[in-house]
Amino acid sequence: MRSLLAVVIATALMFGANEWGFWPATPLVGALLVVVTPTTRRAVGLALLSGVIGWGLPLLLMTGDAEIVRLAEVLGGILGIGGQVGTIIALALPSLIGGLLGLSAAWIAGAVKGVVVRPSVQSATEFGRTTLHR
Amino acid sequence: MANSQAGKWINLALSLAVGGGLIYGLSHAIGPVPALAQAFHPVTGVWTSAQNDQLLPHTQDLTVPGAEQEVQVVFEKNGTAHIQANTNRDAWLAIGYVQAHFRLFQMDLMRRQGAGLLSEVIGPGALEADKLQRQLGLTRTAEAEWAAIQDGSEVKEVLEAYAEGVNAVIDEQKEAHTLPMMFKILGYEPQAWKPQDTLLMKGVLAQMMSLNDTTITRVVLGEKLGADRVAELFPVISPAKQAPYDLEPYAKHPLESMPVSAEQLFMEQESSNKEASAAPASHPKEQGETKSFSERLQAVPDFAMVTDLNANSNGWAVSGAKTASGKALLAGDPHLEETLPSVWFELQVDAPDYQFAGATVPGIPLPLIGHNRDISWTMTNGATQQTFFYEEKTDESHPDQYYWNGQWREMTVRQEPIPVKGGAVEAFEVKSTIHGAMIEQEGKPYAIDWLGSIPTHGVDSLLQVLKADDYADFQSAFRDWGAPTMNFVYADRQGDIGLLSAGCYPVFGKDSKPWLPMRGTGEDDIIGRIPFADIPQVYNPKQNYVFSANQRQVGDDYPYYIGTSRTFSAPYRAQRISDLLREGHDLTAIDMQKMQADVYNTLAQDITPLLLESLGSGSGVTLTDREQTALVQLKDWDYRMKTDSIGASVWEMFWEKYMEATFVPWWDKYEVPYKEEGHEYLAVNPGNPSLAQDLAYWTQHEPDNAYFSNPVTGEKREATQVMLVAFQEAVKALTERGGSDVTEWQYGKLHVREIPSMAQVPALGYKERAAGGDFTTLNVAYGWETGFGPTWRMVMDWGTGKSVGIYPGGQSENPASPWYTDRIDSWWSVNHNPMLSFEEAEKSQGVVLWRMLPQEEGAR
Repeated sequence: MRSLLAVVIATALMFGANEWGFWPATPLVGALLVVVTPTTRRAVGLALLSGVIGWGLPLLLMTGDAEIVRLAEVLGGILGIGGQVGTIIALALPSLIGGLLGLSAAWIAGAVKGVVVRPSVQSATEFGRTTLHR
Repeated sequence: MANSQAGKWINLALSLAVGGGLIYGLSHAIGPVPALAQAFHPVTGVWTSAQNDQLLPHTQDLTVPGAEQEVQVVFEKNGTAHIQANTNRDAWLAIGYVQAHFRLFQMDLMRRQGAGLLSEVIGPGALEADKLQRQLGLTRTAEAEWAAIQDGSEVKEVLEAYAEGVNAVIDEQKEAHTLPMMFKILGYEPQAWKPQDTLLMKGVLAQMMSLNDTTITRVVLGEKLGADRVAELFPVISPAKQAPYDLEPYAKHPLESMPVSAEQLFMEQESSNKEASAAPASHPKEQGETKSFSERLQAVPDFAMVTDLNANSNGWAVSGAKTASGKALLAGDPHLEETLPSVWFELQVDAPDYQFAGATVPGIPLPLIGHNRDISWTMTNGATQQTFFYEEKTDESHPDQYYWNGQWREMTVRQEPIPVKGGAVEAFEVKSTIHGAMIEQEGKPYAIDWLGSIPTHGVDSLLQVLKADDYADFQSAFRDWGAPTMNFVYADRQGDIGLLSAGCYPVFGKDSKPWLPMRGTGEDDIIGRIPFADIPQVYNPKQNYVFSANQRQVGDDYPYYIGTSRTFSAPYRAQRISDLLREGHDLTAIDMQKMQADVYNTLAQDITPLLLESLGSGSGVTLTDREQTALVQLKDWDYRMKTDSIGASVWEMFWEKYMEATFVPWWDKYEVPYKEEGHEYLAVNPGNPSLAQDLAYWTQHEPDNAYFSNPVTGEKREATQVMLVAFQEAVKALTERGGSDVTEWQYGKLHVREIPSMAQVPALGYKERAAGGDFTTLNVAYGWETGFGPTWRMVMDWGTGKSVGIYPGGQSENPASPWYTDRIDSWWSVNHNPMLSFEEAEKSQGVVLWRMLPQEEGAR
């Protein structure tokens, strides 16, 4: 439940920032997820998911008043990959970029956390959270 | 524990390297790859180009900074824009706004090309083109032209208002993140448009029309083939029948003055023509290998160069004596590199002092081809020589100096640093003599005197044309026209027709040979220009028509040198126009459109009977069955280069092989290095105007000419023997390309046209499609795979006061827009669109209306 809430909030933040064109919000939120999520591994997964949705959703919503697929065909061609495969890759690019930005930032934040936070504190915190969730 | 701690550090290092690298890589441009996070951002990236209001405009009110009053812009269903403004200034501003809205990237690309700033956004691949531009100094010319325009003048108002309109779009699109997608893919934003940028664009067009390397190519060929042989093969005036439009008698008035070069003007301005005693400065050398002028010329993007001098443009006018309506007709179709987006943007404007319609070039507010309420005009490239070269006298004891008019003088040096995307700024210096920038060709230094670098008042001329209501006005508008020389074809409401080859025609000393690099010591300097009264022109000629297809405008007795047989197009298209108009009567606008679609080959008409005679029965020649079948196709052929014609394929391949079989042995014998990389420009090209005319003339009149013999084998040959060899080679080549079944050799299966993208991105181009025509036909298509041809076709009928026009492409540069390619099918089938007035457009189906409001009014 916490994870779902974290994804929703993270996605909303990324999505909202994207509406303003502020792409650095994605890695920032991705990093933040490490702080609020019990395990780094989970935080990385949530950051990936939030990035994919936070970047894919605006495109999906745009299809109502835009010829996204037609443009994706053109972009696929520019990328040197014609046909449906090119179109699909072009359409997937924003989600892929968002996901990678979120994932990378969460990974770095988690790695920093691993080095900076004392092992006993970290273990206790993670043990405590695990116990509580049970 | 220690292991666990080490693992964490390794994880951190890995995360920083891989994760950090990914974040950096996605958010920064790396080499040619843009910052993907910004470029493909779902809200502000390329996807905005897919938004419906970016694909097609919709009816709306717009607040446009700088607008004085409300301006209405109506878009037809095909995107043609009609502007109605209450002040002239608003009209220019609205043109800037509309052009930029639909063509901003194209405008910026051409501006960068002219300024030598392509590398900054494209990368090192554009460096050689940029270096050439810096040598030509178009930016300097544009700045000088701008500085010479008086405050308060009409031209200044035009350029400033236009720039304001363009900048309104740039600001608006930057703010809304809706810049065209190519900006996002290349990862940059356009700078504000300056009035000088429009002048720069004019320079780009001049370069397209008049900059070439034919003179120094002649030197390279001369060194191998021998100067005498080159003079025979590339004569000043071809022995073949010409089709001049301006016939004798020719007058010779006192010369008008002009500078030796643009450089002389700039040197005088900067007072930098110092005495030789001044110590020469030390200058950094150009980095890397110095490329030749020809190589740099080849590096210029296709959209900014006319690569084929033999197939430029058509234009003609017919007086009422030959038309059904009794009023004049005018037709024009400029031939250029076809691109997407097109070089043209169609506009119609109603303003207090200006009412016009026609084809504009984005970046320039004035139509180059079109009509106002009283007159109509079109243009073709004058093709006179406007690029000259000088061999400067230099020696090692006078570094960075040259000897001119009895003194050693210092070369001027301009430092031209060129920013390069993904790399360091390239240090580049341009050294110049009084004649122009120093360039290199085959290891030899020359100074280039390109007349397009001389500041002129070209925009003023075009503005005067818009206000002209008779031929006298029209003629006087071009009084000071410089480069490029253009053949302006004219027809008016009153029934008058004319043709004026306006431009700067330099005159040199008596012993000078401008078709070769000349002595830089002063004897061969320009001594003046042909007086305006003497330049080629004709007004209401007795034959009741005027015509131009880039042919030599005047006959052999014209008392001035204006260019060689290599600079003008061969007369085949001109002859065809002349033939059709001479025989024509009760002509209509439809007849003019049919002429623009004409694919009749006059060269084939002249040569095919001789070929058939030399190969037919009685010739003693034995042909294979396939050769015999191909010959039959040729016998039955009507000389039309139609897509379903097999005879057209046989002819086209025959001509190519005939040119090769005749000239290549000479090139090989004398070791012309045309096969070496960077020397392709020396190859025997089937459309070379000099060689094509030589061969046609010899075939008809000198079948035993010595050039038919093979100097490599020593075999003495005559035309018939070479024709046989060429025919057999042609059948072989067609078999390779089209298969063994001759009935499958339809021209359209072998001869295709494509329309590449201006950005040179294959996916943005229009794919290959069967095409008729060749370099000799009015509907031009040069080469088996062509991207060169009619870029705008217009017909003005003064009987109805109506005009029609079409170009291959669409009004929008957005590849996702229906207006990107929507005109191509009509253009392909030579169906012109009606060019409507504002009122007609307003009443037509499916129009979109923009009300452009002044800032205060829009804000309310």
